[in-house]
Amino acid sequence: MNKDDILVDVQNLSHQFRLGKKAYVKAVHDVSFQIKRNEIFSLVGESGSGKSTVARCMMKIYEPTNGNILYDEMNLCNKEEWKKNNKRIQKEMQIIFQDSTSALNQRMKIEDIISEPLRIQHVMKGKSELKNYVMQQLAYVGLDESFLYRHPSELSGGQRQRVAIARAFGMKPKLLIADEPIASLDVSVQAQIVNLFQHLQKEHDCSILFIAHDLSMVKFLSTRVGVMCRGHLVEMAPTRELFENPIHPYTKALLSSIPIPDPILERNRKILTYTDDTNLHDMVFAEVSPEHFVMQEVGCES
Amino acid sequence: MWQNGKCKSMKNLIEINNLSVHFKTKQGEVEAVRDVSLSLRQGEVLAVVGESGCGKTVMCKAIMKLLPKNAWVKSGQIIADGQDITNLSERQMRKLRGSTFSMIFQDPLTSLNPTIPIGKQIEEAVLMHRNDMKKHESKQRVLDLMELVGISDARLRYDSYPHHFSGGMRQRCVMAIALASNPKILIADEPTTALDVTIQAQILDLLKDIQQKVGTSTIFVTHDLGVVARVADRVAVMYAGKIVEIGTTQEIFYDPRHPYTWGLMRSLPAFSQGKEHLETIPGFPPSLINPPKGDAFAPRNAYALDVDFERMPPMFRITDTHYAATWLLDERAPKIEAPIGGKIINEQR
Repeated sequence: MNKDDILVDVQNLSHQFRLGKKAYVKAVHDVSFQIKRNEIFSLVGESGSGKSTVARCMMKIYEPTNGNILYDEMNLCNKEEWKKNNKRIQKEMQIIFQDSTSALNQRMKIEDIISEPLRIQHVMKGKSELKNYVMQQLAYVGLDESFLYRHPSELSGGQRQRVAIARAFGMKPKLLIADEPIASLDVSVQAQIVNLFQHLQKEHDCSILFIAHDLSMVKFLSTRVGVMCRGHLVEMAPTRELFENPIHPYTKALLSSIPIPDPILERNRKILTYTDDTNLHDMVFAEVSPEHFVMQEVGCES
Repeated sequence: MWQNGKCKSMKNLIEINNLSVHFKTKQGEVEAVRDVSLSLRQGEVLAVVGESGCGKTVMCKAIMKLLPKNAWVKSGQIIADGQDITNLSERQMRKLRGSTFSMIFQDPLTSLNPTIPIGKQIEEAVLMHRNDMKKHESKQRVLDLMELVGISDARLRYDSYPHHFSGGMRQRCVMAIALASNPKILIADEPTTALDVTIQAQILDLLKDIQQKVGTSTIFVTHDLGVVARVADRVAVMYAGKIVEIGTTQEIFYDPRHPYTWGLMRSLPAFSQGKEHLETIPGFPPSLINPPKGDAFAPRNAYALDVDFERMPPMFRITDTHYAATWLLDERAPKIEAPIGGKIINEQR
């Protein structure tokens, strides 16, 4: 992989939550991956596998316990470097959350919601310029001017998610982290939002970290996929390679659980379950074919 | 059980005739369910599919008579198990809820009480209709129920609290509560939306399993067509408070006739694999305050005819089990090739 291509390099990231005096939950354990420029990288896995924790560590919502996150060769985990560059990083990294109801302030108008980050980062100077820009952003996500003065509670779930997307893309981010942005939406709206993502990604030339558990959407949207299981990254490959040639048993189980919209095929579908309790800590993450990495036992590399 | 021929000879457990439910809001009267007629047969799973806000949940709540205070049944009739329940009082309904029908809600977290152990909560439902039960009998019944829904080590888990359980396990507990008094009809309102894909399939299989073991008929509300393909015998597609297409699962998936059903299926990523964009249905569902007089789907429908904007299409019969409300099926309408159908899916896979 060319070094200039890499936008984010996550190295050996670990995060643990403290439960009591001596009790910890290891939510993320030794996860390393890279996100290239202008690509959509997906993280999949069941709930509790640590996908969202990775996203939140990257946004510095959580302080990682261990490991480094290099964004454009700046180390976000180094306090001095962070202090020096945090203005720029906060501008260039944006996040969209799953639950748009709680991500938008109920008491603010849509106009204020979208313009707030722009005002904080002093992107726009004049008020009228700011308003024009907000309207332009709304138009991008398919909402008209009448939404400017409404409150989030007057909008449907899909429209709220569009507002959240407009707010994130309004900052012209280099990296957008989308944490299950479509999970709470209807099928037809999901398709609209996914198309929107694709369109905006091409328009703005940004990278997207797409976190989802709907594998059929991931297959459609992303260039590379990482599979997480119990806090570990167990497999990572280009989308096509992963779906055609899954190696890790957990990936296989996950792929077998994709519902097929066809009654006969669906009823004959066999669901694999992954009950393997092997200790993932002792394994190594090895490259089996170009860009295809799998968690393997030591000494198993071919 | 899955063949449509067999189902026909069975009697109808629920019959809804021309049901309309209205809501009173500040903005005006919302016509949430408009003139819906359908029936649920003995031992079948009827899936109700549609976008959020199309009236699926309201219809189910109308059957259970759990509508909020600002809603009322404007017209129509609901017959459950041979009894007209449209005008029953709350007191009479209480006797039916749990024994004749029970409901599983979307979010397993909010339907359980976090301060009461699971076993006690299931026991409460068991004793609701059988207060003559002895203590050890009811406990045994709870343990049986927990086993039925696939909670292993039931005896150990009896005293656990909801927060000890994962989402899938909680949904199993909710199912145990719903099944406590052997209901004839089970209404499941998006029981798997809050769950992971891996667990979703397990819960669906469990539901089907129980349904065959206990013999309950199920109304399954969902917006996920993959789920429908797995569990349903018959499918009703709802749009803007009306049923636009109803038929057996095979008919709906392999020979859909309504443009809205086409749109719903085409927006699944499985149909657009390898293409640039996902197919979408343009626009938004209409407001149900003063809904349009013609076909409510017409403004979003690429195949809409002039008559769609003027007159409400009736239910056209395609086969004995398959009906659709679109003017395209009228003999005067131009012949239009359906953009999707069974063959295309099979070719792609």
